Amino acid sequence: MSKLAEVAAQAVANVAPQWPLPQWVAVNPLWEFRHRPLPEVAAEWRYYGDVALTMSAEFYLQQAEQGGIDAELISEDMRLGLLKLRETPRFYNVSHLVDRYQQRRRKMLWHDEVVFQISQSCGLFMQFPRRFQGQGSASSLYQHWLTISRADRGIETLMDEEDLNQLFAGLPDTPAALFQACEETYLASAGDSEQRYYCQALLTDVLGWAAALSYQDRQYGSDWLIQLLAIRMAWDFILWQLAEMTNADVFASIADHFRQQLSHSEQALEQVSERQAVFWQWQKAYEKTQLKKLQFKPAPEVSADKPELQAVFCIDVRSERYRRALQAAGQAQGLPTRTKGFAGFFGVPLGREDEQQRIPHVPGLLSPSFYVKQQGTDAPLKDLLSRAFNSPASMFTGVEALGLSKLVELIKGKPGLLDTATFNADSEIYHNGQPVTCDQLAEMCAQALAGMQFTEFAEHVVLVGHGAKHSNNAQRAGMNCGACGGQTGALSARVLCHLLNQSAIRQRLSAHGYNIPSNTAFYAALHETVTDEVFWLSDDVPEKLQATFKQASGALQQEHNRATRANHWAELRPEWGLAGNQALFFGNARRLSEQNPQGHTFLHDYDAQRDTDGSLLTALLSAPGLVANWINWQYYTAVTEPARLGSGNKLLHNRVANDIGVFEGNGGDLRLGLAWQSVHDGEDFVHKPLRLSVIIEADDEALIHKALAQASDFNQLYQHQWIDVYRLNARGDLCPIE
Amino acid sequence: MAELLTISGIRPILLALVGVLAMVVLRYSWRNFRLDPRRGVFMRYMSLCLAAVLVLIVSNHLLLFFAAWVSISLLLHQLLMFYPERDRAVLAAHKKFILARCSETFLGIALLLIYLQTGTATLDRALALMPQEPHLMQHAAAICLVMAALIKCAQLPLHGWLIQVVEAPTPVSALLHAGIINLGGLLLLVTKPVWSVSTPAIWLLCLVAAVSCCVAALIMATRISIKVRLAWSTSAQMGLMLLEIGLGYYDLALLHLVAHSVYKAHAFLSVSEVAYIKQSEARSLPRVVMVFVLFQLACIAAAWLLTGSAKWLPSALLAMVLATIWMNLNRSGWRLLLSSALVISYGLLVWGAAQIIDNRDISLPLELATAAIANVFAICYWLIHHTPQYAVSQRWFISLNAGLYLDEWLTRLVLWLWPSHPIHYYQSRNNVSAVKGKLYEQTR
Repeated sequence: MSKLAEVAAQAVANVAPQWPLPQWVAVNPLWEFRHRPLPEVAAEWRYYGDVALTMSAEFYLQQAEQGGIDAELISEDMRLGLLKLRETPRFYNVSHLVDRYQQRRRKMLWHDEVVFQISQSCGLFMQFPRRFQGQGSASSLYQHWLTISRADRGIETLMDEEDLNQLFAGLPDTPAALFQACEETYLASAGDSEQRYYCQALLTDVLGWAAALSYQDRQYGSDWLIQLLAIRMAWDFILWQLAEMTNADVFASIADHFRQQLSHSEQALEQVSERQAVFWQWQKAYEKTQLKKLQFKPAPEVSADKPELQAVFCIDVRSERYRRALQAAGQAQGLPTRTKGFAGFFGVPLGREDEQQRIPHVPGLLSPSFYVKQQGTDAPLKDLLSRAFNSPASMFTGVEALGLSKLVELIKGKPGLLDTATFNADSEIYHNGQPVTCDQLAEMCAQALAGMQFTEFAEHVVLVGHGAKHSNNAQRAGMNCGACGGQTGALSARVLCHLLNQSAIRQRLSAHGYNIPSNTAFYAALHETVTDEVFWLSDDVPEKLQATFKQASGALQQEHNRATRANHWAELRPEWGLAGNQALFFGNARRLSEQNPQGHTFLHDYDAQRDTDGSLLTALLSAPGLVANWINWQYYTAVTEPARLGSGNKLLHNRVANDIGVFEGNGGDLRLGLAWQSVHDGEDFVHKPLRLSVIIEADDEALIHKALAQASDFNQLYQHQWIDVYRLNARGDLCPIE
Repeated sequence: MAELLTISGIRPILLALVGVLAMVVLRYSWRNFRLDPRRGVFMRYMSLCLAAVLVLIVSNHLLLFFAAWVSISLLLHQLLMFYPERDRAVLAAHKKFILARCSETFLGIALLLIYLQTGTATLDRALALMPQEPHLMQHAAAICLVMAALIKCAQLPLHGWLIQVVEAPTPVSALLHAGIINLGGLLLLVTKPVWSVSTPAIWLLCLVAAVSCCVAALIMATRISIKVRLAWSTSAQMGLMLLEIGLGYYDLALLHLVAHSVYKAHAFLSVSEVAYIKQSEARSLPRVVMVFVLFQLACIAAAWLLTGSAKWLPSALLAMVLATIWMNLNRSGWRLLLSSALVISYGLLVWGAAQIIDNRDISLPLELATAAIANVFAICYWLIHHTPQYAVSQRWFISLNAGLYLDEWLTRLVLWLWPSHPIHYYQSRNNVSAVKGKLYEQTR
């Protein structure tokens, strides 16, 4: 194996996956860089990918003017630092250099066309698996691309380059041979780290597909991502040779520039780091100021009042507002209420299975161990209608005969969709392909109850999942429950309630130490996040309970037209989702001040008194802690770098290749991350780009250190400034961790 | 007033159609651009464009007709250029701009010739004065009209712009694909006395449209993104509409125009909701072809019995749908139910359309030729898309995926004529001049 191939393999391991649209969950696009300090990573991305991980100077100055950054946190040096506006050096691939040095004003630009061509080939590969993936996950993406490119005569015509096909014919037949060939020719002078930068630079050109293929590789064991890198490098190799054949003078400048930047990349990176240091100071000052908006109350006296209603919510920041409203409504209705925060799948590792597919209802990092079997949606008429319009043979008369059937919906519009799931006593659950036993179910329930930290049971316990009712939104899954793999929380809530109400399960649960009083009843509900309405998934919900939730919803529905937003097929901003997320709080939710702005905090229950060895905290940091970081960085990067780490304008979204993702417009790279409309309200960013502050309610800092030492992924994020950690003391102050 | 405007013939239907579309698309855009700072600009061009379409439909004066035709295209250009920072959007808009001017030139010449020949600029009077025995000038006018329509309807090989303008916001695509692109059909339906007596014009129209229709449909099935797929499908559907017009099936063409508009507007407006399009399943080619041929014979026989003519092309197309239904459903109850529902609704709709517009006598050799093309197309489709195991299927698939290399030369020419420039849009990152100004103010 050539050295370059090894470097390439390391480079592709750094690409974070992106889930396909039906399961589109939040991902930190820089997740695989967590073991390195953020400023260092940011400098690299800026240098080789032109990707910004801080805001612009303009933004920070504006914040300073408007009080978004405290004046005392801004030193004169910081101000002057922004003044030193030097050109930030950046790395150019061969495709960029060719565009720069050749006269291409009246021709297609190479860089753009290369990305377009690669993107189309990948799309073809994924859209027609039966045709192009004959050997399943062992099929070669590189071979596929090579076959297509060698047969293609169009790109020669388009680019006005007659020698292109000859060069394609001469390309090595395997990625390994290609890496070898590149290493021996135009990369001959590159050392280890230069090769690494170069590979990263190439990958950022096609980052969308890289992330999608990274998901495929991780899920199905293929090795397509490195082949994608090989394809991208093959293009640079071809352009290098083409330039050499075309014009000696121009080639000399291109080669010179390319070699220069390879040999000077270390210095260039240092320059970028130096330039960015002041931005990070500003960012820190900004975060510090913004964190002050979150206020905490001193620890309350231990209260003995027993709640009559316990409601478990997802940690999602959108639950926070509802929990507050519900507490208030409970008080008003004379129904003592306690809310709990836990991951929205309630700790039940479920999936749904029908004839065609399996859909996990768990966080992206887990995989389900129990499957609920369901009938596939058998709608021959709808199916046939879509086929009649979409298949070339049938679409002509098909449209003439049936096209008018769309008239009513065309006038009325498509209403929003919300999956409330189905589950009843007859539904079957499978574990490892076998029907599940009662003992297994009891154990699953016991684990769920332990996770949710139930110590006592009120008369009414409501499990509230959440979901988003949107119409015509390709990225709807991203607004559903992330802990349920981009589905709604309805199935998990239904299944768990159903089981916990069964006497057979309750009997077995007492063996696990959970004695559920006989008058306790569990109810399942779904919090719809656009309208803040709650849908009951259980029958026979007591009047008082319904009234309480209704009052809570009503208190939140001050704004008009929310229902229209949920149901309008042209609505691009039905809700702000998790925009505004800023902190993750492990502790007692009642410590949060009522004056805090809504929807800024992920809330997860944690009681340090009951966690003497820190094992619970370790688990929390390693699971919800990471999920919150993924969400936080998805929003963060969509704001700092909407062009590369955001998916662009929703008005132009175009679903691609079996729903693997979206294009913006006609083609180009597959898009990554949140759309512009998800973080921007037309005037300003709705999400503030703040790194997540993790706040842990604990009297003893040693406990936190202990947990940090064991939660290695989380600790890396913390040590390398991707995340910040504070301790909330009994007085209600936030103490930085020493 | 009658000099300028008219609502004769099919115009009321088109007015109703465009009215509904206008209402839907404007309402959709209004919501689509909620909170967008450029909502007003978008709405303005959108409504002006729709207004121009309405004027075109009712205009009865050659100059008014021409002016409306040109302004639609110019207003559409503003909508296609809504994001001038997107290189590919600009390139596509430029391509469309150049082709639209070509189409207008043909239309202008045609209208001028009509005027010279009849001496009147009022459309209905001019059409009434058209002689039945055409001479050179009328042939020229006819060919110009056909060319204008072919370009307007994005027929091969001048189709590239239609595919590439999916770079514009979704409502623009809906307006274009459901409304504006049909104007080629409207033009020919309105001016049929001019071109329908010119054999060369008819042959030009029918052959280009037939080939375009089949090739575009084959290419459509190789596309990977939903909007591009829909755009190719429009090109194919427009081919069919023009073919029906060329052959003289005006009733079918009218039905097609209306039904396709409704379907395509809906498809574009709900484009982010589309369920995943199932890949065609592998099938035995001889079996599919046999089913298809049998259905075709049955349709021809039925048409002969019911109407006294074989209706070769519609029969072939109907047989394709029936074969598709038959091959995709396993339960015979469903098969029967859906096939009969389809045939009945089709029959009723065609009957309805025939009440509004009369067909021309259909030239048998031309219809046989196009029906043969349709048959070849169906077999090619099943060969390429249902039998990927054959090497020939794989080869053709790749060529089709490349769009048969029809558009590349045009892109190159357009770029050479009119280079497109990038402008930065999203974020003025480290915007030097703006920051400097502010900083100086503050540090002083």
